[in-house]
Amino acid sequence: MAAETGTPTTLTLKSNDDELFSVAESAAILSVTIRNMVEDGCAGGVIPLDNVDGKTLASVITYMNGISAIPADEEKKKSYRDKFLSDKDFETLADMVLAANYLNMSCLMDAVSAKIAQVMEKKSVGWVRRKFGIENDYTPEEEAAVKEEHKWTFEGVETDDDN
Amino acid sequence: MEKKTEQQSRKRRNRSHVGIDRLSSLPDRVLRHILSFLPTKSSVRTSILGQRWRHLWAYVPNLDFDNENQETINRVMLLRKVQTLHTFLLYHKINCSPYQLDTWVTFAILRNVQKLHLYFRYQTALPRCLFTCETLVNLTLDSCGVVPSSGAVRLPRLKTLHLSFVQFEADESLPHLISGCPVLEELVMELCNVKRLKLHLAYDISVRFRNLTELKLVADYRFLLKMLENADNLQVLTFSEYSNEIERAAEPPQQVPTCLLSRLKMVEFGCIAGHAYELEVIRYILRYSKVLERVKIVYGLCIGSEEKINMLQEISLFRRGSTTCEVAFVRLSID
Repeated sequence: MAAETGTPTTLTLKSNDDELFSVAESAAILSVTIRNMVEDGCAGGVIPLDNVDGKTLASVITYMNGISAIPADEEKKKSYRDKFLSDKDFETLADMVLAANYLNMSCLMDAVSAKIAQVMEKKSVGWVRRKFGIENDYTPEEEAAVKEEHKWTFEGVETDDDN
Repeated sequence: MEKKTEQQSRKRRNRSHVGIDRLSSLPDRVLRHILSFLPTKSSVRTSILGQRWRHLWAYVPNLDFDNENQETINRVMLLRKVQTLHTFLLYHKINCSPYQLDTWVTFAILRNVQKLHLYFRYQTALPRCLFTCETLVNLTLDSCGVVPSSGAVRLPRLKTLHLSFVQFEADESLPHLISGCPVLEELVMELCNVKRLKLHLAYDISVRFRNLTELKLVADYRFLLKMLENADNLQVLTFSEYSNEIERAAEPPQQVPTCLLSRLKMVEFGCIAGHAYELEVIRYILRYSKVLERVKIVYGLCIGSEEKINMLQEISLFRRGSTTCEVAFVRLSID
């Protein structure tokens, strides 16, 4: 109905910790998950997003609004994405990549993945294991064998362990 | 009591690291996606993280080598477990045989490469199949390769083409290449053998760059005007002169190029020296561009201050076809 009268449609999104957010449908459908719900007519009331917490969802909505306000200009969009992610710590990036994956938002997914890659590239093995929640399930012998197998990847590499 | 505190603190810790703990629950598809943004060396290094990561790199559809030795590159290529190669970036300054380079490029083409960037630092013939690669969307050739002037060119999906210091087999090479790129949107060229282009190609382009909206061109002024006539949709132009051997003015086109009438919005001239032929081209563009918004003119350090004031005054008095066009003068800065 709203679309017929030309009024922008607003959707209400609910995070997994029960926060409610209003967002323009035109911005929200950057998420294929949400778009599918809208197209299937399931977006009448509140859209529950069970895998995203309020803090992350607020951030994602900021992104949705920001990027959809930019007309088709890839360079401006890219610089918006860079700026948007520039002050995010690793924990926030981790939340964002999970949200982008769940919401099926390829442009955010690409930008966050690239940023995570950029951060982890210079980090030590221990740092990456810790930050990704990876349990080292190699035996010492196996680990040594893997290291030997790809020893060129450890040559001339300086890593740090900082946060 | 103590137990409760421990529980609480664990709960708190979990809460603050909820994203981190769940990162390990991401599907392999997402982890591979993250790895695809790493250079191959860093991507392969993640095999040390744990059993699950041991072969993840081998399914990443990208290869990005920066001066790795020949054996390493071949080993990685053989150990990959996925057939497709989406992106292949090869920055290779180390000497190796043309046969080896040919093999690597062919490897990528056979795996339906979409983005291919090659930097070899020395000229070598590229495999012919590169020019008929139907999957290629983004191609950069930097300091390598010879663009052929004959033979099949069929790059039906190529949108972005960057050519930096490549050799052209003959004057017809560039039009011949472009003629096989029906959906090209972006062309960036840094020309090293501009002499040949300037003398012949500059007046002999029969190819139209219909989709081209943005052009960074390093060439001579006559080539610039010819380009404008052949790029009807050009909106943003960044131009700097390659050779200063030409002291003759460029002849204005017989008809005002279409892009000036309805498209061209931004023009940047890099480092002008104040020659009459430079001013003529600037005068022409300002005079006939109807929708121009901004012209940036960078002038060189060699211009004396009085000479500079005269030149800037002269340019700012040129008639403007677009009333909203602003002209900015910027002194060349050396960083």
